[in-house]
Amino acid sequence: MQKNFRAPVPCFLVFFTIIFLFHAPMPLAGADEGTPEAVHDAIAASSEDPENCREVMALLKEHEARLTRELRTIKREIAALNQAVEEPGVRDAVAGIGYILGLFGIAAFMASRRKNRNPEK
Amino acid sequence: MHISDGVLPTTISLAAYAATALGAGLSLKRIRQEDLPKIAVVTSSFFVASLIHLPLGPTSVHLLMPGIVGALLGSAAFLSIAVGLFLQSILFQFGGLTALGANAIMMGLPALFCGFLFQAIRGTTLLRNTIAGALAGGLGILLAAALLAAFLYTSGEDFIGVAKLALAAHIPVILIEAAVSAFTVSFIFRVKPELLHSVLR
Repeated sequence: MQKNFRAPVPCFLVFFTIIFLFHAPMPLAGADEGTPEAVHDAIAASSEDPENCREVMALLKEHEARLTRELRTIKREIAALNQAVEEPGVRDAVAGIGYILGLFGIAAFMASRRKNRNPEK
Repeated sequence: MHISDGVLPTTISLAAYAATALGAGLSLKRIRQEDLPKIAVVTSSFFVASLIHLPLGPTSVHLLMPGIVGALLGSAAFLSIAVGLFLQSILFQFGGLTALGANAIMMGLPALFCGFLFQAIRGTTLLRNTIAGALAGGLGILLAAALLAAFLYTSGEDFIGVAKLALAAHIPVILIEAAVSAFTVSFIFRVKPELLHSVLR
């Protein structure tokens, strides 16, 4: 149960990081005519200025490589985070010890009540 | 060493649950009130021990403690282990709730056996107690591995193959467990020997 309280904060962090990564480059990509297919079309259409198109392509490729790299780091971070969330921590251990002591406390309480009710036993 | 959800056939899981309930009930009936604090402490240790990972080569192993729980608690060990495993499965996601019965049998029966064995062979000297502790600790894991193989056999695995695998994987655990149990017992024998006069009746 403890886990459910802890999980949201890192999850939100990762979520917003991903949202940011996906959204921040979007206007840039839009300015560069979006997807590589669109760039191909642009190259085919603007045969009068091939030099400019090649430049755009190079920029796009570099951009894509950087994005892939960053995405890979994020994926690795998510995996590490998942593992950290899965792993039982000190909190779970302490919770369990508390449960056990509580259970045996109840047992001791019941036993002492029974003893009080018929003291000759 | 935990059986996960969905590994065992339903009938076996249910039968194991029934046997666990019976065992826990029986051991609950034999508990004396003055032993409750001791049982609570040993149960807590059993519950937490599985979190202590010892690095070993490429992997890591963790203590299982059925032998020492049996040696310290006698017939109450079964209840203690059932409670500890239940909390481990809901808090640590070890094993699963449907396999809880099988897991409790797998750890509880060796604990009971080791408890009786320990009381039978421990004499009055420190050396004999220590040896008995080591035997109980090592044998606990050995029997648990054998029971694991037996349970997996019911799910259609090849018994000898699984038994060999489980045994090979747990040889280091057996050794570590024997050492830890021997140390624990010898320490308790020197410090508070009446703790070892267990609830065995």
